[in-house]
Amino acid sequence: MTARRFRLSIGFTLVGMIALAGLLAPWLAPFDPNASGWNVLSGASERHWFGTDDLGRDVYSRVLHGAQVSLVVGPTAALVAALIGVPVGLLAGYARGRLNTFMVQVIDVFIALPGLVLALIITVMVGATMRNLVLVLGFVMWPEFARLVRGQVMSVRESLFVEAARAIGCRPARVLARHVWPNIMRTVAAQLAIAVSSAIFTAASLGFLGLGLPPPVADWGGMVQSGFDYLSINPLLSLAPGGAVALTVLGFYLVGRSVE
Amino acid sequence: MTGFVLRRLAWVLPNIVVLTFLLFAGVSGWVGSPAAMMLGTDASPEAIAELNRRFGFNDPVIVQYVRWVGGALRGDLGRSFSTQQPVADMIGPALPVTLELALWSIIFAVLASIGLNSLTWARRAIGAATTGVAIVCITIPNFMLGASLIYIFAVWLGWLPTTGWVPWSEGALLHLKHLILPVVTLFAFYFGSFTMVYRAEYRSVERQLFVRVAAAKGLSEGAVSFRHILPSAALPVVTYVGLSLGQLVGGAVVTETVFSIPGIGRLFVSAIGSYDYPVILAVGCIVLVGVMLINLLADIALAAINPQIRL
Amino acid sequence: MSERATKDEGAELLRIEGLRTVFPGAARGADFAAVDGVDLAVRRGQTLGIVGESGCGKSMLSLSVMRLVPAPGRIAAGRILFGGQDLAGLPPAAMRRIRGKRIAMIFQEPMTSLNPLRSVGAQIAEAIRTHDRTASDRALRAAAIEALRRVRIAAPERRVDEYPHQMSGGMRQRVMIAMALSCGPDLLIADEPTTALDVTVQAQILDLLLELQAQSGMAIVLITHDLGVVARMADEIAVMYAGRVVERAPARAVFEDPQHPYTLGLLGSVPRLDARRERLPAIEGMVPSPFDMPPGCRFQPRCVFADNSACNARQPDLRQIGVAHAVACLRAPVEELAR
Repeated sequence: MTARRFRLSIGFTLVGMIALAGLLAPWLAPFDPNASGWNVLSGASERHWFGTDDLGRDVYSRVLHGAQVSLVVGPTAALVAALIGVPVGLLAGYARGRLNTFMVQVIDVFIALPGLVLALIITVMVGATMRNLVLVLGFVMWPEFARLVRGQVMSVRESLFVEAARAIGCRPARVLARHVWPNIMRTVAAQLAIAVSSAIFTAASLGFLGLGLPPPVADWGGMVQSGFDYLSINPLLSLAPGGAVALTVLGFYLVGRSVE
Repeated sequence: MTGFVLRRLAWVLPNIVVLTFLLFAGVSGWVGSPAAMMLGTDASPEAIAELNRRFGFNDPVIVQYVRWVGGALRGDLGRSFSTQQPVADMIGPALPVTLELALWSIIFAVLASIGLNSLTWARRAIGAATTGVAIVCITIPNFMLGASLIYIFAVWLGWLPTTGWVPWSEGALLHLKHLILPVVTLFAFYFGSFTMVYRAEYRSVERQLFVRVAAAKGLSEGAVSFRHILPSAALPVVTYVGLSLGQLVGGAVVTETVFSIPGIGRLFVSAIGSYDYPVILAVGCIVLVGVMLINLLADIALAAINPQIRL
Repeated sequence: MSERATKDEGAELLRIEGLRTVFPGAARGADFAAVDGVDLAVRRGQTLGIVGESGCGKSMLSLSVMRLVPAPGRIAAGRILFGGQDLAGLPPAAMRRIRGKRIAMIFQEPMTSLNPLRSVGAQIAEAIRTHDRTASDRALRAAAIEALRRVRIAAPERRVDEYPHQMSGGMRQRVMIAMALSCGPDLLIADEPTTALDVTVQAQILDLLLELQAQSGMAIVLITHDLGVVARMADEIAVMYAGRVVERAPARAVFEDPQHPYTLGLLGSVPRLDARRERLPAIEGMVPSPFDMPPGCRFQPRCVFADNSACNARQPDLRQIGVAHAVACLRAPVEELAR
């Protein structure tokens, strides 16, 4: 098996597991993730596979339910980023001369800005709801789509078969749609997967820093943060949701890289 | 060359102004009544109005912005709403801490990624291992890595202290012990991304004819790798490093929070948590200006090395 | 045709026996043999020309001798006898002592064969230093200057510190030659050394090689697809097709009395100024792909002399049909066919 198919299979396995966990959480979880009342901060046991947190909630159930948040936020934010970034990239790539250079510089400025810091600033201003989170993450990620699409458009544009199409009189819009787009689709698909992983990564970081979805939602990042104080008592409080984030991010990333 | 620098500056400076203004407008618009924040919730309307007049909070945003910039350039960044300290005094000691953390992390990341990926001994095995580690490094969130490292090395093995920061003045060894885990955490992401970039460059340089010519002269594999492939492959990585410096802040924010390190990252996070608008504004602008200047320097450096870019 | 006097018969320097260099899995899962059973020999002071079109395996042959076959290719069979050793089985460290010092190689593309980040002199010095660790920096620099002088580069003391991009293609090729000869090798392998150069520069480079050969007595293996080059330079010619040697003879014999149908075709397709022809005759058909090798003689699909039953049955081996003249063809000698 080549390295690429190996990566792809691991990626799909991870994504599949997380998707299953999220979709089937209400049935897979042995306890209600928000129900407290069992022994507080107990370690891993037969009843509570990952133990319980400081409010007596079952950690395993919370981790499973946390998958739902990631599975909604990740792909949606990635789509938002694509919906903004791809048209901008197409325009930038197809434009010539000074408009082209100007758009490149604008895109570069946005790419240079540190995503997490930007997300922090905007989220604190508009409040951390699901909708805002998705929009902010999409806003932070669109420049990468634009840059990639622009690069692809420019290289395809220079290729001979596009010249041939125009030579027989195709209008620019038609040239874009029929000839340029199919070649770009693969790159965009790969970047979508990578954007999902990046969105989940950033959303979890925001959650860790206290700007995730408000309680009692089981949000992985927030769980890591609240479990932090109890590392010596029950490390799984932090390491289990943290591990879940890591595996999800890894899964989507591997899928994205293999599609390229 | 000077033409190039001037043209880049002509683009960067207006950008800095526009972006900092947007930040200023956004933050001050969101905050609502800064006067109320400063005086507390049960201040009388007269006191609030007085404060508004005195600090010019009713003036148009642009005027307030210009006033703020003027103060900033003189070193006055206002006072924190939470601690009433001058913001500049809060940032002053925090900045070097973050810089030190960042510098160690980046330097090790560069050395490790270039060095490990140029080794010729057991190439396939080490290459596969390094790539695998690199992928894990760029996907694992730093808070997870940090938490795991703390659990393994501080809680379970007890070799290193958990969190906190000890300045150099209190002892080099102690300082270094506290430094290890945060540096490793921050280093990991950059090691991963530099490795991916360098390996791709290495593969493309390796295919060039002069590498085969070097081998034909009788050089050992190691000599070919380090003396001929590495210099050509490392160049793009260096510029990539320059651009990554701008992103470093994001990583520092989380890492400093995990390890309770008194750098500007943690300062920023606590300001956000307490809606401390002057601090948020000041740190945000410093980060913005810093990032744009670093990228400008990276562009200039690249143009200095490669004359074709100076168009 | 060159008018050089035949060289004295020198001792045998390099002997290749049954060399097979394969690329695993390249031909639908099966190994693809880029070099498929080659026998050749080179004598001291002699020039062996290897002629063939792109893809016939001539470059891979030279890389095999140097043990620089790119992965995943490898030498699967055969012996490469040089200086009493079989290079095919030599451990890497021992092979490195031979590369550059006793066998040197120059390549086709002067524009990309030098490291752009290091000065020309440094690269020549590196070649010397690799085989002589004791040399001082000053001695190395002097040797580099002298090497540049030997290849007739003007103002070598100035040129030695220049970078490759400051030099023309012809000059870079001279630097390559200087670098290759800096340790005084017994054998120089030149893989299409003039293909990428202007015609006038080609002549200069070839003359330079002849001159250096006369001075040092080294042997040259000259790989090319250009019959004109080989006519000028070679004492003996080997014609390669699809990984095998199909004809091997002294240069004169190849031009005056070609025996293999492929050689005939090659010579026939050379444009001539002194003959009137409407159309340049070309050999019909194409070189077989690795996926689709004919079972018997590989040239058979394109051969006008082919006798389908015999020629399809098995690959012909090289057999002597005259003094020092060997052909891999069942239908040779050609005179019989003309009857």
